[in-house]
Amino acid sequence: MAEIQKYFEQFHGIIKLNRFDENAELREKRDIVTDKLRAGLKKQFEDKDESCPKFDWFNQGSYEYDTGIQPSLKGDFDIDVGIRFHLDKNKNKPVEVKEWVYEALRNHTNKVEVCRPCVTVFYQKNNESLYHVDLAIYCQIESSCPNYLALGKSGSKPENKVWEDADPDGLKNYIKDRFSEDDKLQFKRVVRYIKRWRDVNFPSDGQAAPISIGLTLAACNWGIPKKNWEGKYNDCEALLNLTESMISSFSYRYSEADQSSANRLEIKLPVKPYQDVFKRMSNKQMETFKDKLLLLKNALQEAKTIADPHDACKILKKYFGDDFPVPSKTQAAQKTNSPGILNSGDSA
Amino acid sequence: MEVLQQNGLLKSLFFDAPQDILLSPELIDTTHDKIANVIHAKSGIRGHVTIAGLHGNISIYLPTDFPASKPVVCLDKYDSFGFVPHVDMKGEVCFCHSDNILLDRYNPEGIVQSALTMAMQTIEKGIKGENTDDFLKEFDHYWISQNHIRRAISLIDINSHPRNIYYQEDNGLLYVSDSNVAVNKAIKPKPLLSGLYLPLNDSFTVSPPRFNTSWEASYLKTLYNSLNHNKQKKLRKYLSEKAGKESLLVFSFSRPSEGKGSLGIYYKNTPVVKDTIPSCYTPVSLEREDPQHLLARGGGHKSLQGKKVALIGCGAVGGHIAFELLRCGIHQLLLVDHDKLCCENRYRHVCGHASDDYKVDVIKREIAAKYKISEKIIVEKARVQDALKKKPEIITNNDLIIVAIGDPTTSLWLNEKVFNERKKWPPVLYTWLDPLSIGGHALLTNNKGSKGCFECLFYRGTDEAPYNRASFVMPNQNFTKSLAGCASMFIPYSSMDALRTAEMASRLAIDTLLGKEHHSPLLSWKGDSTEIRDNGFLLSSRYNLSQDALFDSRYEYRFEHCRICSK
Repeated sequence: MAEIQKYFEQFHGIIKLNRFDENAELREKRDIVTDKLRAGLKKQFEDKDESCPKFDWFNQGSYEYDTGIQPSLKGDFDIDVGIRFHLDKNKNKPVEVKEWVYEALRNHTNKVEVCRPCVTVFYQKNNESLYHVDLAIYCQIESSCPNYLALGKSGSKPENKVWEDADPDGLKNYIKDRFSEDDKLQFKRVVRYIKRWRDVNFPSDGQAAPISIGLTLAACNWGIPKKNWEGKYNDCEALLNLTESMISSFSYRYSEADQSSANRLEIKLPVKPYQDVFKRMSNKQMETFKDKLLLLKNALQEAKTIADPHDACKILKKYFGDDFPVPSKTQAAQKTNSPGILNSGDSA
Repeated sequence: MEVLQQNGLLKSLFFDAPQDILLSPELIDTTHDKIANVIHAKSGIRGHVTIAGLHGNISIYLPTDFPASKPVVCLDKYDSFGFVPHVDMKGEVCFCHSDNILLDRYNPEGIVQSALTMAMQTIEKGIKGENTDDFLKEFDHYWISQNHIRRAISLIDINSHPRNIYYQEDNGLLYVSDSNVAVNKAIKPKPLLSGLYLPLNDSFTVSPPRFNTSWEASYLKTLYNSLNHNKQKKLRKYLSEKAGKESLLVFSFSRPSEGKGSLGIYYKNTPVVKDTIPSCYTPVSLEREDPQHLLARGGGHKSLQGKKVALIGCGAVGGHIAFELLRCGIHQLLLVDHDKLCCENRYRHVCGHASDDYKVDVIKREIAAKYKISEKIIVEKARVQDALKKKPEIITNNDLIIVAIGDPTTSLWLNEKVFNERKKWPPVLYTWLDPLSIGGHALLTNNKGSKGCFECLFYRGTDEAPYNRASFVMPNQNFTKSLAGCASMFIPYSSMDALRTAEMASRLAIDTLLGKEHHSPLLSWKGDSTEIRDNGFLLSSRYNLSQDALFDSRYEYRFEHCRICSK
């Protein structure tokens, strides 16, 4: 077996989005956005002569789970923020609440959009997207009451404009508590690898690419910490194991979107509303997803058995992109500068 | 249970409640009862029973520690219901083995009832002839009840080959052996005499003599007639040679599911008879001390008896291995070690320390004293490097080589030598200890052509300095504690760690010799890390693997680019 853990870890070092370094700018933007929102809402409601609704905000998504990766395409940096209004879902319509947010932030940057699950604030330079802040809009009457997520936008069909059951705290705790200590670090590395694999192998627009939360939950569901005989982490084995588990979990299911059945991977949210996070992928997209997973599996298996790290990493590079390091061909053992007489604790 | 309580219990069972098993019951006057005195019973009951149509008395005695001990059930005479198995000379019925039962002390009435029922069932089977084979199981029991019985220690192999054997007498005890040299070295002045071993035909079921009686002439004739022509001829020849002199016959017979049984017949003055076995014999009871028999009883494996093992390093780990292999039936050992025992070894070597002798000599002596099989133990008082230079074949011509020297440099050197000519070498098993009770390891190599070797643990194509990656401690820590300078350097560990490592290595050795292990595993046990941590030492990542994970990954240490085993 090639000793390729070192290169996986180097790769991880390259793709990892550090919560407190690279994200500093995003954090700053997040704070500005929330401040703007607070001020904008205040003005809006003062103008209407109504009392301004209160909200709190929290981090969510990969920033919160610490599974973020550097975008392979420029401008894809994002940060997910939950905005939770303290109000009654029966007295306020979801799209109306999203419009408040839109109104409050509309003039903050050149581009603010209301999307189906969130409101997105884009930061641009010379009309090129630099990064964006996704604001998911929730409501909750008071703490300890259920949360609801605002879905839909102005043009949506009435049945798509709803407050959907949600439990962002429950989801956060589920993911954060799934593994502990050093196993958790391997879990995060594996999530980052598979997310980068997704970025390299799927088009970024539309529903073709499996969404991050789905990949993260897959790693929660099927991930098993893997170590080698020396007790050192073996990320290749862990990723292979996850890939194999995902492939074997595909089964014949009905797709609402396609109105027909096909081989699909279903990953349900572990919290309300317990729905399949991949439900928006079409049967055709699912087929592609599985094909690509099979290719990944074969690559990992091959890399695992190839003796020379150079050859193994070359294969992996095809699937994980140019950031995957490839060492030069293994040289015959070189003379080291280490001492020739060493301590040994062995005895008999 | 008090005597009064015991009597009360017997009364309530057999007098007060209606029952039709034990008729005309009466309490036994235990002070004047012979059996009650022998078994120290203070209460008992006797009554009349009918078993398979036969009538007789039966007595139930409650021992003083009843219900912690089972009741004793006796017949008036051992043959009150005919000569049946499982009834001893004094009439006690052996209705179950104490080892294999649980007495429910909260149900003493139930114990008494069960004892009576089981005893009666045993008798019934005897009367109906359903357990006749059990006579053979208990053959010795009847055989030793004969008058003038002599005892013998037997080292002969009880097999199917009729042959001459040897015996010697000392203090009335006979020593019987297949070998004409080592019957008992301690009694040299006594003459070594020849005896005859004859296995009875498997189809012949031998009947034990009744208690206190000997086989009659007619039965001995039947026995003679059961022998095939060849055996009869051998017997006639032997007896005629011994006419007027002393002689010993040893017969073996088959016992259903119990292996072979044996009996001896001795004549002080062998009579001249024709076509029979003389009836004026002295019975001999044979206590089998032959390794085949004792090993089978001790769990040893018959197919290991022909195996040869070289043990390089006879220190704390190796010393234990020598004895464990021996107890498994491996009796051809080559012991290689150049070291002498010194007083520092006293509490960590299997042989302790009585004098400053070579470790190999001390082990061989102890084997001779305890196991009487020292003739196939070869010792080599040399370093393995020198022994190999001098006569490599005495090391390579073994079924397995165990290296327990705890010196990685020499082990790596030997490992390279093995893989340079791997077909010449048998499997080689390395075993060693980690410091401070943290663990022990056993690595099998060169087994059935599989890859993976000692070098794989140290050199893995990286630019790191070599270290043993199997170890549970981080490399480059100095664990050697010196008490008085370099001469008495030692690595501290307890005897139990050595024993545990030896046990693991010995099991792997046995699995290898039996062909159960097909690859080259690295096995490890891990102990408590308190001492390591308390002394400020660092543990390796391998220590954090669970015992299951260590086992599951036992073949994964193999390094594809290994300079030694992947050439």
